[in-house]
Amino acid sequence: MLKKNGILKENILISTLDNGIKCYIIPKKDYVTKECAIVVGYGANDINFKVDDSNYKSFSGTAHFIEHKLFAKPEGDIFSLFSKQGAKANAYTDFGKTVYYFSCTDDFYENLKTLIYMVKKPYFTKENVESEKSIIKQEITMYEDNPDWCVYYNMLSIMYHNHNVKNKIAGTCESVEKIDEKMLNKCYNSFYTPKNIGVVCVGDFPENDVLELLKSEFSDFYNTSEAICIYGDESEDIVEKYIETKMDIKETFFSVGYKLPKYFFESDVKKSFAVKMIGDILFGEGSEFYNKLYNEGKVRDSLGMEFVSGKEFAFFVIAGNSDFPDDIAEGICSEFDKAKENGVLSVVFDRIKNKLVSKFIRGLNSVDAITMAQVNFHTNNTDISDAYDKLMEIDLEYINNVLKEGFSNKNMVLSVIKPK
Amino acid sequence: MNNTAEILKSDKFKTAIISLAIRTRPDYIDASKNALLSKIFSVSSSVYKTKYDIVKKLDEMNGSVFDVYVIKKGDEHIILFFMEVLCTEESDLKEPLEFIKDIVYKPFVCDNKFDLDTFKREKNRLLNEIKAKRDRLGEYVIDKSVENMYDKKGFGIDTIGDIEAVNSITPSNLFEYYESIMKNSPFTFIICGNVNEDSVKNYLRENFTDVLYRGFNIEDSKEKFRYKPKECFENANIKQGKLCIGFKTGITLLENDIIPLMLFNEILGGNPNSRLFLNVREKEGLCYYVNSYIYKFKGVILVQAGIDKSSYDKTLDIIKSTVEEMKENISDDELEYAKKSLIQSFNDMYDISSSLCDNILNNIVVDRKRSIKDYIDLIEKCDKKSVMKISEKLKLDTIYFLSAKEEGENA
Repeated sequence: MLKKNGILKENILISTLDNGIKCYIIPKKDYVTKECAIVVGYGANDINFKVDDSNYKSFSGTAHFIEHKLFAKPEGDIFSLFSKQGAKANAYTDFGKTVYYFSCTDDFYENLKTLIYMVKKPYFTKENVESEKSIIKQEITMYEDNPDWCVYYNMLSIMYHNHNVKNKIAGTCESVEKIDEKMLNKCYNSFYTPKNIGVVCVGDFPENDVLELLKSEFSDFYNTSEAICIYGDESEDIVEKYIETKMDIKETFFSVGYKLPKYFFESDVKKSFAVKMIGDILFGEGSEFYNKLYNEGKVRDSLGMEFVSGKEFAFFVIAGNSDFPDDIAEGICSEFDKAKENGVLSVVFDRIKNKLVSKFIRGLNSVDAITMAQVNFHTNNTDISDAYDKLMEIDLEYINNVLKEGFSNKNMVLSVIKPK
Repeated sequence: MNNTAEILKSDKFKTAIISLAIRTRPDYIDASKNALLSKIFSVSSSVYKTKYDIVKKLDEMNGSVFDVYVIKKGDEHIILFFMEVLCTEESDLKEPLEFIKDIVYKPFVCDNKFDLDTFKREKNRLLNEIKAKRDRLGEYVIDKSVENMYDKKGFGIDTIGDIEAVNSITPSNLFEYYESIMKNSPFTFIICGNVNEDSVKNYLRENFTDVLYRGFNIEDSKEKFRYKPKECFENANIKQGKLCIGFKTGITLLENDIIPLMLFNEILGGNPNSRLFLNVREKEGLCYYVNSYIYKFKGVILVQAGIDKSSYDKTLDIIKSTVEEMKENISDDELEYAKKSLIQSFNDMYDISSSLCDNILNNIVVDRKRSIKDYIDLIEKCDKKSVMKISEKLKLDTIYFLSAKEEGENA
């Protein structure tokens, strides 16, 4: 189906292949860069699962390990093959998905075939799995020195009792050591199925040619395995209110997190935009709250905000640097209370909505930004044109309703890392 | 290049970019003044007195983006005003240009001094930012390497300055500095988007005439080489050591050798097919990341890696021998792949309006017009011999290692 969005002046071709792979092809006229991303709905949280009526337990870091090792093939490393073909390739794993992508200017079809081949044909051997361990451990060590990362995971550790979201995406040096090629194969075969895969292509090309190529390259890819994930029983309440650690750093890092109830699990795109808007209205650079902190010299930069929602979990984070994390956390609580009680002002809502719409349109300038946005919209089972319409639909009433469904101060946690 | 403005008219993008570059060649103190001035510009003027006023105004202008910061191109420190506005129909950009004019010409000043509250707060923010640099380990080690390579002069001066220099700034000496910039520094507008060229140029001529059409006649300082590389070690309570190695070549953006140098860098550590990636990561598993980066204006190559302290000697040896081996052989395939990769980076610039603007600014700084297409042509023509010859010019200058403490070791 070819969708045309007259306001955005963008088209998108959406098609589901016979085996179930969902494809999104977005032509971008006059752009020289072309990009493709393959999204697999399998991420760091999918550790324990049931397949063919039997339970299986993998170790934390398995999805990320597969992401590293899928580049390995009998004939060599696909990473360098992309370089040879003039493409820049990369991959990442988050809580709920693994994404492989490349961008290039020439030989797009050749590179596209390479990416599909890479995802279709795993080659995990005892030797190549072992040799990757030291590299992944160096990656983990690198994160452990990163205060942003530490303050974030400390926060999750006091927010969640059991849910896998509290595990580190890359795993730990200990869990990685225990992973072997059998585990990688088992997880690959359980999750790398056509129904669990989406493909996004963006660039100046005839969209139907790209679709034909996707059809033929994926025509031999069948796997009907259906794995059901088990995330662990999780109550609505938090584990602890506060966690503080020390690192060899110069500024204090903090992260305020709201554990959100069921209403926010697997949020659709409209709800996700609404939460982003709420964050910007209450704590963004244009909010009174932020400007008070700024004028008092309590924050140096803007506050980082993130809404994360997935299978059986959802949380909202406000993070930054400040010597006054307790004051800020307290202030955030009272802002939420006030907003829930009085509702959001309509002039403020209009201003912030306008800003978010403008940001959305600005993103359409970049092939990479469109690709990554569509990757995320795919996991919401939607597309960039529909997402825009949903964003426009949001009104003040909806915002006020979403506010009332969560952001309860008793489920707020504060994580702080202070200089040693 | 003494035009009123460099304008790239294009309806490819949904936004327009306005950048205003104020070019300076500061000493250590003035670099800090640039940094503080940028901060004050970005949050105040006598029309929009607070950050809140500015943010609200930007929101009203359809959620426009605005910032002021300092960038470094060779010995030049450039105060860069950056603004991005929605622009889907042809526009004269009157409102955003008026906004920039107010910020530049009407700073928040009384009695020839910057407003005291704003000044104090922004000075404090700058001091904290300088202090907090250490918290971003990767960038910190690169900055320390460059600072040591150039002994805190010219290219070795940090764009956000240093604590001592910032402490010496007062509301009145900063205002004097502001006036001297308004009187002497070259101002350049670079604009990209679906704009009406004539009206934009007319507006700039009417409102910015006194600061436009100025130039610089100073060349970058001549490269100095060391007899023996400088080794710097710093201890920190971290888990992974950060290594950065700086090489000098003396090649500048104006010289023809800059193209073979870019290709040399590409083969050495510019991409995942590079020799460093294969030798240090894939063969030895010593690190997760290792790469090399080129500073075009100075012909400097920096190699960086995150490694265990115990791998320091081994990693250093591999890096040195990798460079050494490139004197002896580079394969035709390697050169071809390097060309593809580098050409792609240049091609990418066509799709990013800020990159297009940046290339224009580069041309203005070195006073020589080279389009993206010119670069691509030169890369295509470059032969293997000239790339191999680069090894002879590459001089190891500084090794900086921020190392993790071994267990039981004290701070």
